Amino acid sequence: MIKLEHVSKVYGNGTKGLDDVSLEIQNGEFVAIIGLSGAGKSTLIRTINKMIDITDGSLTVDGVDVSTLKGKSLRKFRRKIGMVFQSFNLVTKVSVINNVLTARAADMSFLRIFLGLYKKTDKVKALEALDKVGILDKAYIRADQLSGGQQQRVALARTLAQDPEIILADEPVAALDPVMAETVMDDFKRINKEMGITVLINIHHVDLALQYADRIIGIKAGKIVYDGPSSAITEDTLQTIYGRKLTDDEFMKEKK
Amino acid sequence: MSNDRIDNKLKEYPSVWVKFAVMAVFILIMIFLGKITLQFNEITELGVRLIKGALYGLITPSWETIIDLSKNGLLYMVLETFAIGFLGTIIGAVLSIPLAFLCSHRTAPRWVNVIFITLVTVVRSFPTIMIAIMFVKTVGSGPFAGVLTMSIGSTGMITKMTMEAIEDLDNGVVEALDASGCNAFTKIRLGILPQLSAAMLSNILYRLDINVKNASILGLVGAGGIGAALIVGIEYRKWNDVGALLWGIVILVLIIELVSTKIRKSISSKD
Amino acid sequence: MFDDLIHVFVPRTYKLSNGKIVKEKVSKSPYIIIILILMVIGCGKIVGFNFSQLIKRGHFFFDMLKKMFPCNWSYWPMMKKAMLDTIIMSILGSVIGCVVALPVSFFLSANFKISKVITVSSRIVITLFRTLPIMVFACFFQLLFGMGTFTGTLAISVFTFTICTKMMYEYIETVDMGAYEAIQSTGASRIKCIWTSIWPQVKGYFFSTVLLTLETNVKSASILGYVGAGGIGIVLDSQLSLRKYSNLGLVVLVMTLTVVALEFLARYGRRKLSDV
Repeated sequence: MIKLEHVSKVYGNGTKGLDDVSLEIQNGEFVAIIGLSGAGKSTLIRTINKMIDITDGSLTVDGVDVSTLKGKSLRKFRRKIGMVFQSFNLVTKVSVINNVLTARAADMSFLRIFLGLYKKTDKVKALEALDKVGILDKAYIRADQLSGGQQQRVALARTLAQDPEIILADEPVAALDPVMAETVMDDFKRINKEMGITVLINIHHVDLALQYADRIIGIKAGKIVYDGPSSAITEDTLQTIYGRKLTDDEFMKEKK
Repeated sequence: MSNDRIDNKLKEYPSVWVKFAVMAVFILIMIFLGKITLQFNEITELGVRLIKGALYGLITPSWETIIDLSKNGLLYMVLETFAIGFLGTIIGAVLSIPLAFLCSHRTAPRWVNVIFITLVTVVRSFPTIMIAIMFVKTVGSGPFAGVLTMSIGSTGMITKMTMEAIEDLDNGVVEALDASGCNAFTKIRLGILPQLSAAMLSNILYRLDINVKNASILGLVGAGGIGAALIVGIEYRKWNDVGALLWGIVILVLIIELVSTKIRKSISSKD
Repeated sequence: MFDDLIHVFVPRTYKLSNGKIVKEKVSKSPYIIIILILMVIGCGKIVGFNFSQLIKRGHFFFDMLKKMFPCNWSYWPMMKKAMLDTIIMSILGSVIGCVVALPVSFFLSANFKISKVITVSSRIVITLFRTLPIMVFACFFQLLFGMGTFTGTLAISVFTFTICTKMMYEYIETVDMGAYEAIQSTGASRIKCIWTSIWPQVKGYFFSTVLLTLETNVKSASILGYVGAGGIGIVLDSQLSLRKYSNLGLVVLVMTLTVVALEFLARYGRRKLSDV
């Protein structure tokens, strides 16, 4: 369970990333965070695994106070949280399977990583993860030779190979075309339903958020302005979140 | 079922042992090379004393040398070193422009390329110290011989870099001029030089860095600059003088590096 | 005529038909050219540039070449060892210098947010050393370790280290940090993140840096013998003072060919590496 109580984040230059945010996310939920760019979506996602430090309030994950973690305990904590990025963040000059294997690096000795001597169980795990997202046959191709959608699925496989309990995804489909975006979102949904992994996803495209997520959190200027089931969202709530009428830009597919 | 597929894929995992073998062979070769060439000498007490003195000289440079404004003073020697590097670079740059065009297949026929590339390569690879010695025999010892040496050396390097820049150029402009029936000279003047000037200037500045640094060793064979005094200082263990001279080199090269990096950055940001 | 001349410095203004006044962009280049010309004249004065002397005595330069070539091939067995030493010193020096430089350059890159004080101060120290010519290192090591190839190899290593470190940390700072962030988010330690995400991106550049330094080191290693640091420089010096010009010719020929050969090899290697 992820629990935020009165969490604020003020950046060094004075901008407020988060402003008194309180929320609770149960295990196994599929949550989408929507809002304008710069509203604090990325900040919210990144505070959960302490890629960004919070400046005020308390943040606990499964009862662990995240702000007290550092060094070894922080790294141990991060192992159960997977992260997927807008720009895939793969090591481009390396094969797909070796990219997935990097997710196991935290548990391996440095000597093994240095020499590239991965254990058989790790390799099997990596291949299984690739199989789950349907790109097992691409395992030995260099990551930069894949299409954007395939690269994002490699990134997803990398996260799965980590055996996460929570997956944080920061705009995972923003760089993809509509067809690819849906396949990747389908993968997220399946992972959430079949494996019971909590999925917390930042998403720019409102239609995808409504279609896939069970719960929507709307953020505006660092504050939560909507938190509830996706079925209860109306035009009006969307207008409060965005502070204006939605444009075509906020939809992946044609606006209905 | 699915396990079979994964097992099959697992077998395709590239073996790391080939990589290890290559590494092992490389390390063994390095050790072997070291074994046959390197002779280790014992560190003598005298050596330790000398190096201590030298390091002490570095932190207590001789102020006499620093404030001396005559020809034996630091300032003049630094200036002379700079002058050698600077003039050498300028002359090299001027000479390299026609040579680079003669070396590039875009601006000259093949047989001309072959002749000039060979010439430039030989000149560039000819030991600098030998060129310096030959110029000292020709015009007498002193900084003039140094300038001539630097000129020859940097001509070779700048020609190579300019040639590579020409090869990298966008061909469209040259082709367009070709199509409009321009002769080789107009082609160079209108199609190539404007595109080239930024890259060339950056190369020349980069070379200035290196040339000034190299100019400080020409004194070894009597071709001027700070090197002669440095060698004498080390020979006679005048560590405070050596300290002053080294600081002179450090500061001179640092200033040039700073200025040239700054100009190069502003050139590349303009593009 | 005078009008044109003044416009080199003062930008022209044009009045267009619609009444707008357009000013020409101020060009800096005439000022730069004037400064350059003044500097050339000043430097020429300092070094005693004397063109007529060069013309008058220029033939001495070629006289020397004529004395050296054709060279004395039978001298080869006597100089073989020294030449081999020079090459091996350069190879070992380049490899050792670069291998040591690699971890240091990761440590000095601003990407990984290692203590700023340490990073900046180490960079200053390395920059100071980098300004020194290789001969200075050789002289100093010679005091401590005496004459010989070990001194030369050490001098080349240190020299290479200073250059390679700078090239590498500047390159590492341009590398995409996305993959690093991703692996960091899995809870891997900094060194594991670097090795899995940054090293694959920089290794091609690193290997070509090794080749590049090797190329330049072979050239500069030839002077090390002059200060007693081993290699072909000693032979060059001795044959010169003995006025054995045809022996000298062979030494120079072999040195030139070695540098040419290495340049070709290095270029070939770098081309192969460009996609690693």
